[in-house]
Amino acid sequence: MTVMQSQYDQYDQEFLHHIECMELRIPVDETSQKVLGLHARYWRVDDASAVRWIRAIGTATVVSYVEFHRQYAKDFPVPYVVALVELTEGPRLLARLVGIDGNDVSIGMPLKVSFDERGLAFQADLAVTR
Amino acid sequence: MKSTPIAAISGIGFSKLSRQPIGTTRELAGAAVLAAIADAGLKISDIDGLLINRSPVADFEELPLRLQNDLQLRDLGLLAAIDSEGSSALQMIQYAAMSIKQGLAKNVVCVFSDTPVKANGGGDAFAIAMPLTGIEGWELQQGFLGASAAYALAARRHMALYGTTSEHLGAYAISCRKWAALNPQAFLKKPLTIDDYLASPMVVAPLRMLDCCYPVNGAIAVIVTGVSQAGEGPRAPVYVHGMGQGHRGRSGMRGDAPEVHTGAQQAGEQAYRSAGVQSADVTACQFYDAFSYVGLLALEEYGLCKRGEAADFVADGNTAPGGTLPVNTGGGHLSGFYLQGVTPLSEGVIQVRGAGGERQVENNDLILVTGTGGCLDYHTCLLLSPHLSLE
Repeated sequence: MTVMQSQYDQYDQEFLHHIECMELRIPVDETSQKVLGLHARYWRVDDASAVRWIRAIGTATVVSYVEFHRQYAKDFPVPYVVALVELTEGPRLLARLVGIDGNDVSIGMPLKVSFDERGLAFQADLAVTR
Repeated sequence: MKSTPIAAISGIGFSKLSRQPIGTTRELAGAAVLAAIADAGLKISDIDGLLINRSPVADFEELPLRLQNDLQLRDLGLLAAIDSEGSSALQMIQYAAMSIKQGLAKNVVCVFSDTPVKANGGGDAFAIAMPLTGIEGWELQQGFLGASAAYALAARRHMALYGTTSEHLGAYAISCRKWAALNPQAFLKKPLTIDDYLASPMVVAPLRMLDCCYPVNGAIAVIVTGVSQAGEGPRAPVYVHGMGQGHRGRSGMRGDAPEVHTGAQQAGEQAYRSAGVQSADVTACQFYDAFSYVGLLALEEYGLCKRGEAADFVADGNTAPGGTLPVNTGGGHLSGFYLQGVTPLSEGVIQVRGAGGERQVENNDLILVTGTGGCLDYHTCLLLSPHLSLE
């Protein structure tokens, strides 16, 4: 597998460490209460930054999704679904959808965060769907 | 319309193109450069600029700056490797044109070379984890693998917003296949029906195998020269009248929509402005279409169709042979061959020269050529014409 991604730096390690601890955290400016997207790293270089990793509410909606039919890696048997999800607070990220068939996924579907042996995933938020 | 071109393309050269191993990336680059120099009627000693574009998934050393020494290019006034992923090939032309205007060089050779197809096939070369989230390594952890996944995600968004269907994607693939049937250099020429398309294996839904590019091994080089010298060679000059770039960036926040609103619009507007033309003046297009969806989106982003109308425009046959706006007349990346940005560039040069044979478009007055890198992140375009003046 060729990876176009670069080496993890401390920013990535912090996010991934939270995931290992079964917490989805997002960067929030405590002064303005503004939530930042996960692409923005500028705040990490300033020791005086008021931006902190805050625990996300854990709900989201589907922006788009794909279903893998070609197996690219041994440890990812197909089919499986990965979605671009928009957290209730605003940031977007990619995440596996679990417990739902690809044919049953739809754009705008409400989701809630879930953790399994691979880490973060999302599942349908049945409380909202109903 | 304004009348003064920015630069001209005076030569083009191909190495062998193959689905088999036929040499190293460096060797193929050398062959293409020598062919381009000969095509332009120049000698090696006439070349005073070299720009290199290597695949973003290739090792740095596959195509080093030492290509200069391989070719015994001496006393260059310009030498660089351009690294903007799929938009690099056209950026080479832009930087060559600007450097020539500034007097750094007179004849700049621009080359792309790649050997993604190995002895065991070419299926894994682009099985990459594309970084879309902002956390390095995240996509790999989520199993978001393969360039096709990133483009499938974008295509699905367009489908949801505008009603684009699998049949629309298939219509684009069929249009490209019709052109490929007329191109001796194309690799996939067998006629394609919508049933064939719908029966092709799903790779990452909603994209099927026939939505994906067809990689080959090979290299293509072009010679960029100043407008005043352009008529001195044996070939009719291909004038560069407009150029633009657009790299929108990602916020990763609500409201951002890099799947359907890209930097291509900015690139196109700049190019039209620099050439003193409008999108309606474009007579044919050569898009960087590594996936079918990219071709549909380009029609909208470059102002050739209204938002959400490209799918029907293609399905109605407008981009196919005999259509109102020929698109990817060599078969493009899907049916011609995938050599990243030099696939559309080379076809643009061939069409402007009137050398397209059976596939030659009737009106080559203004051809839009595009390059796209990342997952719709980086955009570059050129406007090419056989005419010194567009008036």
